[in-house]
Amino acid sequence: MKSNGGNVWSALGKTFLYVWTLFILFIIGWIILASLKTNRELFEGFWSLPDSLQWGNYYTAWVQSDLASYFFNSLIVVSLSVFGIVLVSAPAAYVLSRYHFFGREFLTNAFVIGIGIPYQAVLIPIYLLLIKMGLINSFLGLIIVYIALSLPFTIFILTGFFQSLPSDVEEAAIIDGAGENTIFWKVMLPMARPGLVTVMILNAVGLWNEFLLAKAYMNVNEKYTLSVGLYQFYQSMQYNSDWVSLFAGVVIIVFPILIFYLWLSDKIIEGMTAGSGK
Amino acid sequence: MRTGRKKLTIPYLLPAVSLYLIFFVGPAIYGLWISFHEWSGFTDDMKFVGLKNYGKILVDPIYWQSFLNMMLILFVGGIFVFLIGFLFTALMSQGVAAKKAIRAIIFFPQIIAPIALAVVWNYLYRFDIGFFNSILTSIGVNPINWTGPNNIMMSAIISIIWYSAGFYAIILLAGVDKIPNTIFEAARVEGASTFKIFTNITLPLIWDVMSIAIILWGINAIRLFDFLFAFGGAEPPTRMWNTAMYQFILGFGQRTPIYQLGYSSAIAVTMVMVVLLFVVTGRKLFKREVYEL
Repeated sequence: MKSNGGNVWSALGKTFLYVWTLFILFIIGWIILASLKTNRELFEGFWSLPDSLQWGNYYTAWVQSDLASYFFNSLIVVSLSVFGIVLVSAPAAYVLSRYHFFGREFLTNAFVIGIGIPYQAVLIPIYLLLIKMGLINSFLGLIIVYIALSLPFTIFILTGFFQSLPSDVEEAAIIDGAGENTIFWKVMLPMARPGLVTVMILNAVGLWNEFLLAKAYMNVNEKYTLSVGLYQFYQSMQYNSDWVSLFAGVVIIVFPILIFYLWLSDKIIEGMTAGSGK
Repeated sequence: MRTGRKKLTIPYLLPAVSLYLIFFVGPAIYGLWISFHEWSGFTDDMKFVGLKNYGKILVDPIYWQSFLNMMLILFVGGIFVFLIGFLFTALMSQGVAAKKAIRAIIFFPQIIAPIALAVVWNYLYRFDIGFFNSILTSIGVNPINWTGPNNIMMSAIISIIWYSAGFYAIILLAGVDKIPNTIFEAARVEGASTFKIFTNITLPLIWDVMSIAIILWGINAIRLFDFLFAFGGAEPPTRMWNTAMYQFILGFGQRTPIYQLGYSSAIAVTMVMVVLLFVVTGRKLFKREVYEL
């Protein structure tokens, strides 16, 4: 029994959903447009349009404001971290999910608990540790921290993946006399590829946007990651109000994620929702 | 799973376990230890003061202001995120035009760098030429000082809701999409209303997904830092600090460092306790018979 009242509410709700969606598209479009205005045009008002597209803003942001070097810093840190995360997590998750040994459950739980611990709890101690190790303001230091703090979530997801793999292939390989290493690298790891891709994507997106740790552990200009660099650029707006270049910077940090998303949106959505829905 | 294979257990676990111990478990324990000390970080003498830092928290008005802000994000933000999330889930599971595109678009803000979001939202809220005030003035309403000290927290929460709601809607939707369509069809044939279907069928069947989504929201809301920190501008006013911001500023400074490492660590410990409390209560509240399909 569908009442008319229900239809009105449903129509209102749908309108709200469409407006919400359009607003997101509008904001994205507006930022791109704002990044191509002159500062004078920008300050004429929110709805002003550029006379001609100022691609020079991107030059200012990219070269003069050093976002290029921050961009490459982020690229290096994120790609090495993601590689390291998978390299360390996959074997551990494999053993945790498919081997039988004393303390297995305890260890699995110990990793899972880490998902809920806010980074604030380790922020200062890790800072002190990095100083002791001479790894403050060092990409290596940040990468190691990123790897370590990504382990709980990554191992959690990968354990689920390895558990879901059928064991007959594995057993066939054992009967064939394959060594344990071979079984992992040649048989199980390729089968777990969808899981590996998922954790790589999720970690790459998360670390590209990461701010707290990078801000705390990278204090010199030439070591900033892109989000820290953009933050500092934003802070400088009170001295030089070059907002259009700042918006170019916003586009620069979002652009790789957007491209990635246009290419892999299903995989990203699936990974992030499955990751939390387990 | 087979017994008898042992060779790889230790070598495969060793890198992960040692990294985890050295860079996570160890620091977390050390952080707890620091919280019992007074320490500026420069001098080497860490002075043991027992529970003094925790006593200080109890009477520190800035802490409780920040605690209130943390709770506002957690609960006020959370209520709206899940109201909107459920609304979107209900609508999208019944079928809307361009469902796939809408799903992709409302999800997207969640993966934009929070610093970029803070820059943009601050601009949208601008008093003189911001988006919201340009709309308000065009319909003859007085502009609002969105980022003034009285409103900045509310404005920040609105933005947080904006970039989170789609993400949580889609987590819920993933749960709904697993329910076979035949169940809904049968209910409709029986004459159940949309609302009835949602409360009596959808909700019980996505109960597990929902409780995990709420716990995830809790963890994220309590530790939320980057967006709020950048949103506050060069000198974020104390009134908009949440506990994560206060903790950071005490330890690392804003512009003028404060360096109260012991106190900052104690505050971090309270954040862990809030997360634990939220997760444990959440699990208790949502625990119930699971409907299997």
